[in-house]
Amino acid sequence: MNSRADNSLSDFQVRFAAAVNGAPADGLNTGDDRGIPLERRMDVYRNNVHASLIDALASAFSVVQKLVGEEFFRAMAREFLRMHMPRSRTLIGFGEEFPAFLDDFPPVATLAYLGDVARLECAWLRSYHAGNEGALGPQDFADVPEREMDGLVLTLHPGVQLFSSDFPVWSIWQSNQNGYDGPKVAQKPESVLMMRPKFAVELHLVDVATIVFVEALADGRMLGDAVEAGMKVGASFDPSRILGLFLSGGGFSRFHPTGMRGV
Amino acid sequence: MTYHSVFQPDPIPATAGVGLKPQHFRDILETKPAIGWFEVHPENYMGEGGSPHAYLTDIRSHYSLSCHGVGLSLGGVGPLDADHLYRLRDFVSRYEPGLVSEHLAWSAHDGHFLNDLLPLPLTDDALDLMVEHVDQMQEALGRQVLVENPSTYLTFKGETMKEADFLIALARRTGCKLLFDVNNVYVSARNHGFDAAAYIDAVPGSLIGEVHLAGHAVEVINGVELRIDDHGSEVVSDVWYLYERLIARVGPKPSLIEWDTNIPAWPVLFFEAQKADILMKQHDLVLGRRHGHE
Repeated sequence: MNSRADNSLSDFQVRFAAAVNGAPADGLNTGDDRGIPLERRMDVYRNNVHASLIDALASAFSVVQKLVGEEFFRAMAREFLRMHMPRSRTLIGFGEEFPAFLDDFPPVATLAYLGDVARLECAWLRSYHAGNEGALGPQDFADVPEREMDGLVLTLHPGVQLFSSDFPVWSIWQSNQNGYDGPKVAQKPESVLMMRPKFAVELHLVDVATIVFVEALADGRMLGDAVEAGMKVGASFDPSRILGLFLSGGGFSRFHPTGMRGV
Repeated sequence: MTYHSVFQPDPIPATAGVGLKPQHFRDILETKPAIGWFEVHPENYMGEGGSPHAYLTDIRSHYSLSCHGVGLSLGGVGPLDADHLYRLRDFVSRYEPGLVSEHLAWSAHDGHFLNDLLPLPLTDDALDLMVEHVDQMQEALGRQVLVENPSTYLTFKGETMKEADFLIALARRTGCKLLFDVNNVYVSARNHGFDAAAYIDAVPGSLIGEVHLAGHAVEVINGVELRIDDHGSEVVSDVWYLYERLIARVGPKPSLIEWDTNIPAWPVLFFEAQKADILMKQHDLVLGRRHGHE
């Protein structure tokens, strides 16, 4: 590349980017302002950059925005941008650092659950954008002999997401969806399982035993072992109910038999 | 991941299209409106899978598609972002768009994406930089691309070219075509006090591969108007006049209505596109008569 071009244009873009982030715009060697102060012209770019990125965060973290209100959310998002401008040219995935930012942002210190609500929204987005793979239904298991079921290794669909929190994140999420008319949210830990049948993300409130069971499957352990792991955690763990949920929700994309007999 | 498209590349017709918005996915699939084509920002379809790809695949199976990038930062100093170029190539192989375009602008700096189309001083150096990057983009994608004129709010001392001349030189040196945004010409002309009609007349029709039309906002600062390109309303009548002037000279071109903020109900957007189609048909008849085709 022409090094002269690199130097002068590079210098220009350094100054311009600084001006977008709040530095004065003089020094950019701008032309005739035609009666509109330079800074007001520069404000159009400043606003385009920040408003569009704040809009992207508001859309990704709509429940967090509902919890703190739009005006507060936008001011908070602006603070987030000071440290976390996007690095990718697609905004899909932008805001992954937002939950940790909320954990440490002093003005929301009293809303201790906020970071976990944002984590739940991140998980929702991962499920929403996850790869497309086929989903197994009950008929796919028709030829598997009963005694070989425990030996199956099941591959979770990429849309499956798990999230456990010390806070009632599922209840908070539900109560902030349009048309919610349920009870008030009580403080308790909650775990959420997400699946994506037919491209719509579904959230299920599940117990810790289910989380242990799904994590065991995700680790590539055989179905029988995963059931056992779940049983150990919760006496009320009901594997047939959870398997039914996975089959109707498209939670498994593949299985392969290990040929090992169940225990 | 490399995608092997199920779609045949089909060209974008010289008729009206609209920018595809998720709010209209269902209307479009349920009513299959008689519209020539749709355009998307590939950056919105760079997730692995899920609903956005499912809808776009369905719509693509019924309509031609144009790919209008906003993230490559062709005017940014330093090398193009290789990751983004790969993702763009994947998008193009996945959907086989009829047209692929980007901007005379930069949108990233120092590893950060600024998500806006920022202006370049129109100098020989800037032209060299754009030529190098457009060459790279065309090579990476293995196809001709279009470059769009920006809407701007600032000009710079030391600029050596008018924007039209800059773009014409870029097209001649790289073999790219131009995406001619008539609203951007009008917005910039009003903001900087140049003659929009002269700009419209200066660009050879053979270099124009696509036209954009959109609405814009007007802000009054110290009693002076500043036009802001927000794609948030109907195309204003002055822009329709300029568009008519353009197609009267160069003939019908693929013409896109962009409406990205305050997004209206589908019929409103569809009607806006029909206006462009009607103008193109009228002028096609006039041109046909003039050239003795009747």
